[in-house]
Amino acid sequence: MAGGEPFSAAQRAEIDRAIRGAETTCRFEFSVYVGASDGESHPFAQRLHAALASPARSVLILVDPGARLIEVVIGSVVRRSLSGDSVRLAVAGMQSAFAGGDLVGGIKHGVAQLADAARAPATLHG
Amino acid sequence: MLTHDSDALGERVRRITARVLPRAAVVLVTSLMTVLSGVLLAAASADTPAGWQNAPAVSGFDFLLVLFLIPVSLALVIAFLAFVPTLVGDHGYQPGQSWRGESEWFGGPRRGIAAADEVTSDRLEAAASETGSTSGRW
Repeated sequence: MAGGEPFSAAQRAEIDRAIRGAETTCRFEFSVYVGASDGESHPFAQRLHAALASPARSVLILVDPGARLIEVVIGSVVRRSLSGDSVRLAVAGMQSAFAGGDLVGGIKHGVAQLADAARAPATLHG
Repeated sequence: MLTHDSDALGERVRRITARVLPRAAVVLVTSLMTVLSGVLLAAASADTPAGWQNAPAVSGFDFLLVLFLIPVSLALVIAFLAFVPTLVGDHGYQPGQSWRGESEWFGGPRRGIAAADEVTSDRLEAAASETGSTSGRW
């Protein structure tokens, strides 16, 4: 197994599908980086986020399975719709799944949870 | 009085009919089945027509080979062929495995991690000043 692709084609498709679903749900961009951080994880996650096409409207999730850590970076526009509590809740859900060894499931769940939280609330009046 | 008698008679006839008709139907169907099965059995055990060639003798081994060994072997081969991909296929990252080093960026820039290396400090500062971030460990 060593040296090959870390995810199987099916797992990759599952994560892609989760990202597409999340983007459809809340109309923000989602990006998931899985791998080792280059240096400190937080600045590295910030750099990845800044490299995205539209950082202000993007959510970046960094998962470093080797160091067992998660970083979630939220763009300025997304922050208006996504509260810190919602992000912490999604991170807690991912931590729980990753601790149980479910990397793909945790990513899917985290992305979906963030998208649901970022979805603009339905207006009750016209 | 006469009306009462005729009503009672009609009721009795109806009861007898209701009891007898199902039995008659069962007897009829059973008889038909018996006759039909007799006819079919007679046809099955009929001798080979005179115009046909004599059937070749089949030994017990041939019988077993054709009706048991070949089908079972085929089933085993098919089952094996169906099982092989699950043995040799790449299952990707499995729970409990150590991470294999390669990183994957879903929904990232086309150039991948190289794009992150090219982010200027100005752009990074501008983006970082308004972003929110949360981290966690497991």
